[in-house]
Amino acid sequence: MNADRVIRWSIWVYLVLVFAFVFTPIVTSVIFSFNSDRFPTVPLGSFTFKWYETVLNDPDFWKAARTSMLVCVCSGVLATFIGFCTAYTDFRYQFRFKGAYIALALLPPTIPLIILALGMLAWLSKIGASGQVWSIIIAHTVLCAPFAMGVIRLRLQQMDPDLESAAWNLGASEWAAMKNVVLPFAMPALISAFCLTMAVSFDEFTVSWFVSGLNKTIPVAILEVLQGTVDPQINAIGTFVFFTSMTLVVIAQLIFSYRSNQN
Amino acid sequence: MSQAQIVFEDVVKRFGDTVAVEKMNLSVEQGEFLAIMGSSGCGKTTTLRMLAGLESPSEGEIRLNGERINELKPSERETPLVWQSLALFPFLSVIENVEFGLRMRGIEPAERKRRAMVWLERMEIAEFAERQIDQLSGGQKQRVALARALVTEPPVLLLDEPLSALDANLVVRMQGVLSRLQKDLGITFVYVTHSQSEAFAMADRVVIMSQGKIEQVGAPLEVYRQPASRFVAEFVGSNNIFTGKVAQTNAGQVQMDTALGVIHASGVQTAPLENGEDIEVVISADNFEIDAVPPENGEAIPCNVVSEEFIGTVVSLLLETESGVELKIQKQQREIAELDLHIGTTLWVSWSPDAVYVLPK
Amino acid sequence: MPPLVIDSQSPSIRKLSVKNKIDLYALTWRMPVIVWQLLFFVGPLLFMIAMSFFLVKNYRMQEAFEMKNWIKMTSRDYFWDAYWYTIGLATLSTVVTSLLAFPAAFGLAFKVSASVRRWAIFLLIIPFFTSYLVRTFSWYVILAESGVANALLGYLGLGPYKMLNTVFGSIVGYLTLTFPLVIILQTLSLANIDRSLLEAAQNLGAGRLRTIWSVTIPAAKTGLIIGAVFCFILSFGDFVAPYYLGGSKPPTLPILIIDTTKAGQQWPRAAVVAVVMMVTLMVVAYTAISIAYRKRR
Repeated sequence: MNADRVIRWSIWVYLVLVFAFVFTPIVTSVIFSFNSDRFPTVPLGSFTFKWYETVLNDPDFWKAARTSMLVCVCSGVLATFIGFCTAYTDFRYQFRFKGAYIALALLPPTIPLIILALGMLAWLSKIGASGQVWSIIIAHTVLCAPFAMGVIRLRLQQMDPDLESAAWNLGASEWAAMKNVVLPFAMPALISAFCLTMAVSFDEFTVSWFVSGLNKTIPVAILEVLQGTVDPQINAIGTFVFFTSMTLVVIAQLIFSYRSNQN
Repeated sequence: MSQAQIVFEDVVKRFGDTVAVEKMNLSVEQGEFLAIMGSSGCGKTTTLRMLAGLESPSEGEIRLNGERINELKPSERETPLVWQSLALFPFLSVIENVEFGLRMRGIEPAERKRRAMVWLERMEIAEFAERQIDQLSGGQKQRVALARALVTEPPVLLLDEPLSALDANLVVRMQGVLSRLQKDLGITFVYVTHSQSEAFAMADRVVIMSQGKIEQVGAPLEVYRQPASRFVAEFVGSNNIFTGKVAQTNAGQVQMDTALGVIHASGVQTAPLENGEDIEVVISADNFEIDAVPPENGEAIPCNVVSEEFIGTVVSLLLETESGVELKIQKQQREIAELDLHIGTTLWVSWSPDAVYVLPK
Repeated sequence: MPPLVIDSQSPSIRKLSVKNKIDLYALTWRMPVIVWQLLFFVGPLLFMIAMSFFLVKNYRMQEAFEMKNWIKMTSRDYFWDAYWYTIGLATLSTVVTSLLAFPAAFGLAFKVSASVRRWAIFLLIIPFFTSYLVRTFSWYVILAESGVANALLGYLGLGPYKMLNTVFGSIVGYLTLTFPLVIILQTLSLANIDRSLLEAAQNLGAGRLRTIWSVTIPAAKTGLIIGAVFCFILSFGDFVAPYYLGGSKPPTLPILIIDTTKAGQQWPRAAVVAVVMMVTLMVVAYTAISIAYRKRR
């Protein structure tokens, strides 16, 4: 018997099972969002748009969607800006305590969200900044900046370090070199980082739930529906959220790999 | 009478504890083609970067046209650099690259386009003006880099190993382009390279550096024929260096004992030598005569061929005397065509006393 | 030429330390993350630690330095029950996830082509950008008493099984959160092993399993442990899986934090729980990482 063949086949089968497990909840959610039964199970009921209609006619959904968009765009901009500053500093400068500096910048994703959420809630209340839309923006910027930093740092890594010096050498001040050389070079990464951080912000619920007060984002709204009963509206919202995030991620990926290949 | 355009006075550059450039004194004249040579890490690139303002000297003073420039930022100097990596801006077109310096100086778009085109034409790449950088060949990129640096009509052009990425025949072409350009423009070129052939082919003067120190400054032939130190003798050309003791001296005529036996040198200008003094002498590889039979006057040493190598029309031989001393010899191929050379062939090697150069202490 | 200088007098140069001079340009890029993180990352965490010593009187928090919350929380059985239960669940999740991920990572690292591997990793990144809540809700529907899973099993004449509100449910939830990440980390660390090492082992006559156990796993140890650490941190801090799929009885520490904060307005007591969690995670991460980087015997 060909043992290699058997091993290869069983590994393929196993991989298919693993991917099936990972994608089952995503696919199920999309399917059930078009299913008429109130409690989704098999066999499926009839095809319907009613959950989408319910969602789209719900003013609370639109309010949450507006909040979510506002939060993800603002924290995307802020996180991309902070991420760029940090990535550029890491790329260009050596200084004492640089290790601590980088650790400070990259640490947030290693702290459980529930802990950050409580800390944020308490601290923002203390300084009088809780319960607002911008409380969520502040918190999401902390969470998202490390991702932006990572993406932009990778792009700067591809830049010939002489490029900036060449601009100075041709008469550009440091600021002019930043505007005319570093930023144009980093632009694809800035766009990718913006899309990625928006996607991260758009899906985050723990911290939002703690600090948002009455300004619910979509994931917080889902969380609150979940605490009630089984409601297939969630599938409709989830499908909407899924495609929004995926669009952002795919755009980010396309821009990043297209421009990286170009240079 | 020309005034020194660039002056390094007691310039020292340290990076932490390491000294990159040590007490450098050097002056470069207006319109000169100066090559700075040395192996990697000798401080040649640091010297160039200090001139461009990309490093600042730890001590000493650098002057351009008599004015101290130590404190000027790179952007305030008119010392454009042609980078080893070329450092062309990948997101700009060819003409936008060339216009960059003019744009930074606030020149009007129409004017800077006109001036950029002049340079593209001069570098014979005008047809590629709208191309992206990654659509050009290595030689074309080189020309863009030159045009970009020269478009502001600077008094000095700095070049950091600009030809190191090109293949051999393109290097020779670009050497011609650079030499002609420098003559036509009449501006100063400071050219850093590790390649002896590039430096000797183009430069008016060469500077040989080692471990942050200048070993010798001089015209190429002078450096080649009269190396100032054992380092230069080893670094430049293919020289045979022998150590020995002075046996007899008399008005420029020196007789010495070396591993090759007794050697005579004439026209020695080194400081007076005393009998018994340790001495180093150099015989350049192209200064030997070789023959298949002993010459009439008998002043020749028999050697065996250890290896031979053809470099174009030049043959490079490695010979060994009966006592085991190795000799590097170079000959034009046609000069030795009638000799039947193989490994192991015995040859008679001779040289004139003029060819023996005594290294300064 | 007029100086375009805004900042210091000396040319500021790559890797040149500009001591005793304020370089406005450098500071512009260096300061944002420092300011932001101190204000909104370090600040909240330090304040939370301080808050664990505050008092609550008449539903209002008062700044103080008292051990009351600590004594109150740590003297209760239900706190310690929750503590050990959370550690148990997170450990179980880590073991299950790592074991299930390994064959997949092994296959992706050694048995498929590079382009399949790239695509697989891309696919595994997708779940990070889909709502974890929605995926959990899907599992809720699938695993329910009359859900999809039991319906399908019913066709085979099996079940129905109780899957929701069990440890099994919690683990499915944790897997949803951590599985893709752990597979990616394991695949990357396995793919980086020097192939000649594996070939040498097989040349020396080691069997397949023997090679995996005594060569592959030790060589990829660091990456495997880091994957496990991330899995532990995520599971330990997640409240969604144990709440919606595990039934929240007994509660885990994150659920305890939510209940104490949201229902009881007892922020200082929640802070005690959070600090205990942080310390636990630091100890676990430190231990695991020092094992990961310890020299191989």
